[in-house]
Amino acid sequence: MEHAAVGSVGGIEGVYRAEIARLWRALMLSFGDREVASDAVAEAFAQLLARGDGVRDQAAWVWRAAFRIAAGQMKERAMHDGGVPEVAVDQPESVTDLLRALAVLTTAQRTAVVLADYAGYRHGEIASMVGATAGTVAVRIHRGRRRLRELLEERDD
Amino acid sequence: MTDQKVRAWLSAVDRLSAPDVWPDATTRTAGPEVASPPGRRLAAGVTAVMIFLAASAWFWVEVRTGDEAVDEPVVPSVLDDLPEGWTDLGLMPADPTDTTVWTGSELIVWGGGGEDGGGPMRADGFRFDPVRGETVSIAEAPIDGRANPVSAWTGQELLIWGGWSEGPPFFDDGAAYDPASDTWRTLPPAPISARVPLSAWTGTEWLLWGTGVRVDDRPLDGAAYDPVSDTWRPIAEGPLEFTDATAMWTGEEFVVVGAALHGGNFPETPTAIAAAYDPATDTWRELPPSPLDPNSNTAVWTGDRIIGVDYGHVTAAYDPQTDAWTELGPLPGQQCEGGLAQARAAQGWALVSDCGTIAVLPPGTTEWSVLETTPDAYYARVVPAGDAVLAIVPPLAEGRSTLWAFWPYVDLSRLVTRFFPSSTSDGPRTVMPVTFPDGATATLRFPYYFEVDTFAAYPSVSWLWSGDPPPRYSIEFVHGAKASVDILAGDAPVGEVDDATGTPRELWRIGGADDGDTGIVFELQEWTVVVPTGGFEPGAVALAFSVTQDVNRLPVATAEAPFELSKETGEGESAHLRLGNLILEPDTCEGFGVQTEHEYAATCSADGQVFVSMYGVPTDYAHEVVTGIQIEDFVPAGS
Repeated sequence: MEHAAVGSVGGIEGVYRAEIARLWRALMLSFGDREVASDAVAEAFAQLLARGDGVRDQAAWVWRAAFRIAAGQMKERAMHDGGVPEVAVDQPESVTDLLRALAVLTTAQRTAVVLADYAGYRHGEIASMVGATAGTVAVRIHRGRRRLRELLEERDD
Repeated sequence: MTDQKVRAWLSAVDRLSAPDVWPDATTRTAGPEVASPPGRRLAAGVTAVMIFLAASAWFWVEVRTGDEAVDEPVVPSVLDDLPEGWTDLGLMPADPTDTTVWTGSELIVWGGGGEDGGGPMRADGFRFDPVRGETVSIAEAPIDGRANPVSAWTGQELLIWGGWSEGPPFFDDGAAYDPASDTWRTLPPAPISARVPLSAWTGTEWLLWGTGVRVDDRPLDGAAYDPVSDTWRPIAEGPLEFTDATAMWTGEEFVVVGAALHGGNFPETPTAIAAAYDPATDTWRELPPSPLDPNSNTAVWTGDRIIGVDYGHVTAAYDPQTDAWTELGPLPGQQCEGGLAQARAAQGWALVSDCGTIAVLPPGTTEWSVLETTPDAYYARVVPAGDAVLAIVPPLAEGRSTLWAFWPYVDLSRLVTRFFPSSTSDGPRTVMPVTFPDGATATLRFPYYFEVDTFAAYPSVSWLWSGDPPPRYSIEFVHGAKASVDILAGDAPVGEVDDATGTPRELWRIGGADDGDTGIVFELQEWTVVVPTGGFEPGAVALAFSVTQDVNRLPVATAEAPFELSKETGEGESAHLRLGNLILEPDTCEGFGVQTEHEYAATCSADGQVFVSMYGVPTDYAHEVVTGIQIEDFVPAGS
């Protein structure tokens, strides 16, 4: 996947402008929660700002960080709040249907499918983001896609 | 490779506008220890405390049928044909909001405050047959909708009494629902005041006594309801006040185990307390002090002993024959002050769900084992279901709860101890005590957002071979709910082959993939095993190779001729573990270096004994965000 050019603070803001929409939407698809997605993006860029030019591939770094942060937030929320994120109601029905279908997948499958089929990452790149190996990612994508087809093809029919 | 159809579906999200969240660096705390926003932490803490406060009032439903002895199996159930272990029964038609009992063929769900537990109290409900997938709405009850009533299944009727509507005042009435006729009848007035009592069904009577919620006026009286004569009788006053407790019927006594806490959430007794009522003599006795914490706890009768668990995860057993408590092993899993849900399965099994962990205590044992269910098993609600246990697992994301059934293992050797460690939270870090297969122990400490739940272990067998000289292929044993299988390649299995039991196994390409090697994936309860087939016929390998779990839950592989299993690798001679996919501080280990193009490896040692290798992704992220895994308190095997 191609990323925005790297640079200092100004460059980081450029990375932000280039990545924010896809990154936030990918987090929405993976975690189904606007607040988690927004917090993760903001926190990841805050950490990137703190590191500045010390990070070579800033876009790749911020994607990894955002997904890890979001996963951590979901884990903590599950521990303290019962694990059920708030349901966004102010979104198109097609998005709600999609999120409902994705929710049936395991978190790992959902994240892998989103990073592969929405964000366009390769297996090895996804593996480094989620802390798994490329083989595991392939398994998760295969099973996640299969489940998603079962759910959404039935809907489309 | 992107799946275009899935990509098209996912692109629906492009209709959402991303917010502008460009961070104000002066107000955010950048650093490797990623913290949730302070407001959410506060809210989460308050929520946790609220759950904790409400815990004991929720989680006890003792289900008995007819006049059968308490330690005998219950009626034939539609669950009887399910296999041992967990079975996914599919999505619930709606999330249970309050009373949930199992009749032997259906879950009856009634009352509560709507899907999210809030809103107006409901007097309706539904019956759900998970085997047929059928859902039937039930008639509206002749009593007000409510939360936290006590309930029981008599074998013919669901009994409901007491409870509240979003808090006091309490109700002092009840009703009985007959699913055969879909009709309700009201119960006659009980000789006790309005409350949320403790209750248990004895087989002939429904005992209601005291209270299990935090109120200033803690009643000590109680009553027994006979559904045959439709009459109540008062019972003797008990000796102890409770605010947080569970009640159970042992076959001879109605036992209450719990705590007395005043409004400031401080215990009034040095330990958890308990008392027992004998309906034959209409008398009470106090049980001796338990090893359990005097704060909130839960307990369950297993058929020959009471198993108590406190919120600090101390567990103990009470034997009514000796009138003594014995401390057991700690409840595994994270401590998060959530509600402890418990259930009893026939054959003496106790099952507890807490904070994402479902653990069982097999009959006659002293150590708990964790059951793998689903990664989303947080706050599963468990419901006794005769010889089985049902678990209602809420989704982590939007969606409905999933219903699971657990059947105890007949062969207990399949579930004795657990190799994979439990973990606890220590601020932003996770503390994980690890016991290695050779008996060595250590403690790992790492940032909590690491999902370190994947271990790869190389037990005594590592290679599959055939012929002389043998072409040998290493077998990959990977542990964990999110097992990391790092030798597979490609986007999908290249096929399926049946093993000796007729179970289809996925056949994947291996590693570099260009050489055409394939591997057969065997999935156990906690392990994923990949057997490379090399130049062999995959179907022949699948038929010859089998793998089970031993008493320590480690995989045991066997192979029939013409295949053999080797033990002569270095990994095989000594237990060799790999902690999946995580970088660690090189300073803590020796031999740190590049293992492959995508992995670093570090072989760590303590006291001169090499015991673990760890792998991670050599990325900027790993170096800059991950502070690493600290290894503490290593104790070699045999010490």
